Amino acid sequence: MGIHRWRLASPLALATALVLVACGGSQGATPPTQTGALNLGVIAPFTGPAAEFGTLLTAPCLAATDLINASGGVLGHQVNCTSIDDTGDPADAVPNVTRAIATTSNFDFAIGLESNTAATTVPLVNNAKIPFFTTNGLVSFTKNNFPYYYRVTPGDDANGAAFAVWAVQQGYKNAAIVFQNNIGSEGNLPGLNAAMPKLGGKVGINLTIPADSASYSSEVARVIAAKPDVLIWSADPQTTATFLANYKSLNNGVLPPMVTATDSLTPDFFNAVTKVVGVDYVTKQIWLVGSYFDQTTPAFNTYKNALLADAKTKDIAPVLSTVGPPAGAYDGINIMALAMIMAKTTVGSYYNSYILQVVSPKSGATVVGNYADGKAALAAGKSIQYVGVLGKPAFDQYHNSAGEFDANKFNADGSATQVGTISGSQVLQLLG
Amino acid sequence: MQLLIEAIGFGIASGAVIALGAVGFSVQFGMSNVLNITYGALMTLGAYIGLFLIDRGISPWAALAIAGVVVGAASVAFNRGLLAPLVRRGTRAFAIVIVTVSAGVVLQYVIVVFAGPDAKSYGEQSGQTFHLLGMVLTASEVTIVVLAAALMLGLHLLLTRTTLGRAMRATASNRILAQSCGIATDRISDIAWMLSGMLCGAAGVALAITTVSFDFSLGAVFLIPMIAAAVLGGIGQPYGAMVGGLVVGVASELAAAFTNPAYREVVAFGILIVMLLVRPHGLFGAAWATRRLMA
Amino acid sequence: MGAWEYYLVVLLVYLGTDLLAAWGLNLEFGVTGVANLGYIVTIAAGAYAYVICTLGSPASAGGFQEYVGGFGLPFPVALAAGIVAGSVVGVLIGVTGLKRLRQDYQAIAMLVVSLMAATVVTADTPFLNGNAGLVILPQFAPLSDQDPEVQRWVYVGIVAAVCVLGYLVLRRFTTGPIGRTLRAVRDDEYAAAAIGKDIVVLRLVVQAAGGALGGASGALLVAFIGGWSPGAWAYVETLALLTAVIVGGMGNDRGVSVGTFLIAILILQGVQFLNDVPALKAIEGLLNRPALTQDLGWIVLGTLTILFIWFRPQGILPERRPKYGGIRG
Repeated sequence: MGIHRWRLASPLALATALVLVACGGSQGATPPTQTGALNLGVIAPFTGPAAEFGTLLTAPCLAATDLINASGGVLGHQVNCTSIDDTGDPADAVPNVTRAIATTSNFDFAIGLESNTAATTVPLVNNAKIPFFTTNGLVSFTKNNFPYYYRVTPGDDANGAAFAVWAVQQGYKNAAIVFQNNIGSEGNLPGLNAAMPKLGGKVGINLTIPADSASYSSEVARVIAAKPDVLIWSADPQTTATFLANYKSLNNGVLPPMVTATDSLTPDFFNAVTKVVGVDYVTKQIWLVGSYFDQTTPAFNTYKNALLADAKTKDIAPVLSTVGPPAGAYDGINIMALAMIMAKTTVGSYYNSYILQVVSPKSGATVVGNYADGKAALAAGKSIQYVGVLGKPAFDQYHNSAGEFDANKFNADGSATQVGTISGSQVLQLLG
Repeated sequence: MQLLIEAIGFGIASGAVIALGAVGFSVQFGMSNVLNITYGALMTLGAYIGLFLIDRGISPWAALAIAGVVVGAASVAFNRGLLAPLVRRGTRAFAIVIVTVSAGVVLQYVIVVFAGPDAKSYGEQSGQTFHLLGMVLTASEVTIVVLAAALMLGLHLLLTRTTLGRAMRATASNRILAQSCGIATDRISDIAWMLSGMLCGAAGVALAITTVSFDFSLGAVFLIPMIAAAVLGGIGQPYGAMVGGLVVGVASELAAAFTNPAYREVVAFGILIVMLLVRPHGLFGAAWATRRLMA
Repeated sequence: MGAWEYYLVVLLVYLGTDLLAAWGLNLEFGVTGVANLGYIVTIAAGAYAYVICTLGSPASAGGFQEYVGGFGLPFPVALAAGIVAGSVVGVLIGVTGLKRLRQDYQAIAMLVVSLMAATVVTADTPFLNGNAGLVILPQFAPLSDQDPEVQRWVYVGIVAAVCVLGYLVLRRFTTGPIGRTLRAVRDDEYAAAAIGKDIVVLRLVVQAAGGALGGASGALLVAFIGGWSPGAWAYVETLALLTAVIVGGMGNDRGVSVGTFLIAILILQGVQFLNDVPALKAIEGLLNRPALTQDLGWIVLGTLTILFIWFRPQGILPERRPKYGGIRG
């Protein structure tokens, strides 16, 4: 059998080679100096079914880096946005993200890492000692042990409870919960089901529907039979459009009011649904509930103007500026950049410990709402507290900050207006 | 009870669309003996051609006809250019199926590259609502049901009452024998691919009208219910595929009405697997098409 | 650990797990002629089985994800469980192909099984945590007392060792009397039956072995990446493996290994580097599409498969044996 033996040689040789490569590589004690531009990784699906997230998260990156670069950069470095396609598949994401970590010079901070892939990408970026602000909603990260992890948006369960609070506040008592069979909706459901009875409302019917079906007529008939006064909804634009079209046909043209997530505050959702059920319903009867932000603050205006100023983002700026996760990403970039200045280095393993200091309340600190003001205050030798588009982040020991919630409505041009707020502590109580 | 009757009505409406696609699939399979998975992506192509036309002000029903013709031509080219030569070289059935799966993936992603991955819509076309024996149907659904029935009848008459139809059946059943009887089998085969491609394109537009909103996965999603309907009805049987489509449509709606709606698609999957295992020649299997369903 | 070094580790682990999967698929498809378009389900079964064996009970693991089981078993036992799970699922899928259906019907039946499995797992959250999938926290525990950098290389060694074992098992099936019998079944079932070969048993044994390789692949992968969800095992993933088998050379173990390296590493990772090519950037700008590479990856894969079946159906390294079959009958 001599002939067969050499065929085995290749895996064995591989293993030996690996042991040889394994030696070498260690880190010094003083921060290494980086030269050239810094790269900010936008780790998100740019292809596949969730490709929309890529666009949604590139926009705040462009807004933040435009402002940072206009004010002279971070410690003299310009900052680029680098798209890293995680494809929405947790297995395919791993080589793509590690490749980006290996091939990207000065890869010092990251945003994105949303729910589809967070399970596998969060440990990778953390292990590379790159601080990151994630927009995932997974309940699994409510408690975690990743030192480079930060989240300024609520978990999906809290979002679900916020839907219930808003629906009951509007006087609706009998909710039909219809969620698409997908990752975010699945996370909303426990919080929503827990909160609704505690608030004195009831869940008339609760259906999980598949995406992109030819018709939802039977599901619609079941919902109509439950006589709901509000539809608590979460689904992709296409599924929403088909469902509402069926509903309209079967209910003599009458649609119930809808409470859904600010995740749907996108041009795709607005266009797909408006084209099918008309702009009147979309602007008057749909509430979109999500992370709160105050749209009157200077911080918000700076953010919105930056989105409007960049040719690549100006078209989606009106809608995008009111969506929670991108705003959280924008705040995160500013916080990380200011932490770099405080640490006097752009290297993640060194500036990471300064991130909490950037946002922590302290007496005598200058409150800043954008990067340029923060940079100036630090240069003048003052201590700072960053209060951004999403307000004051209050990180717990796991670096999560759920914040407050608000409700929005679409305007006829696809932009959105805030119409009310929901207390974050009330939402967390309902979950407890 | 109310829900039961309503669900049957919805099932007839969605079944008509499935039937439209299933009949084309069935004719193609019966004629060429090739399990053509690219059919799904060609349906998607039909829907996007429809979108292109409707966005330029052409009426949906005219767009349906034009998309049918274009996809019909594309089908003929696909068969002539790729499948027929492979079959002639004696490529095995599983390799051909892999070629059609691959070609479907390529076509689907080419559509994505040009049209983008986001949801598209023709706008709402459903029109007035009709109440019929406790069932509720929209105008566009009624039109599609009537259209499907008319096409089915026409196809049945074509296959059974005309010389062309007899030639098609002869070619499907035994190509070499047909050739020796003086039938121009290549031309007959082209006609079959054209016809089935037209049904495929029309089904794509009809699907896009009923789903109201669609994306590049449209055809891939509906291919399995269509194959299930075609196999249920018996390959090569227009009436069978029509009945198969209705059964699959009604069964899916009943599942959605009375169980967890997330399982609505599993019904079509289940029907297909059970049929393949128990009765692969279908409920109405035609003698001329069934003999080669076994290895 | 340098970032390049880590990328190399990832590529090696992926190569190893892809090799196991491609060998298993080749055993079923290339050697025996069972066109298993549902092969990815055996990989998924191995991965899920590994996860629920590794994790403790849902409550003890933090209560944030729902799943059946939760046994808190050590790495070798969990890996073995993954292999068994893959094997069982392989046999279950194989049952759909037992009846002497045409190969293309068989392929579709198996594809549908794959779709059904995905639907059930996503719709039934308490089973395996639905769409969100399962996460192993703390991550990567096979050798938890070691320094993480050493651990990763040791892990590459473990994957390599399993590959060696897998290859030995594979050779049992592809060479010698068993291999000849299997090829005979593929090329002429009736003749094989006529000379007294029990085709049903043979096929089930092959499905079990092929599934075991898939299960090992899934378990080893998930132990490394730490998370598994339905997004990771869409039915199209089987196509990438199929392309590797066809390009490399159906029925030739070395050929399939070459094909896996080409497809899984060179092409699928190679297209990612296209992101930096200015011409592609220009096209992306023109079409207003920020990232085309993944779409292009699928187009390349599909086209390659078709081109190979058309121009070189025997693959890069053809099966070495008397000529009586292959893709062309």
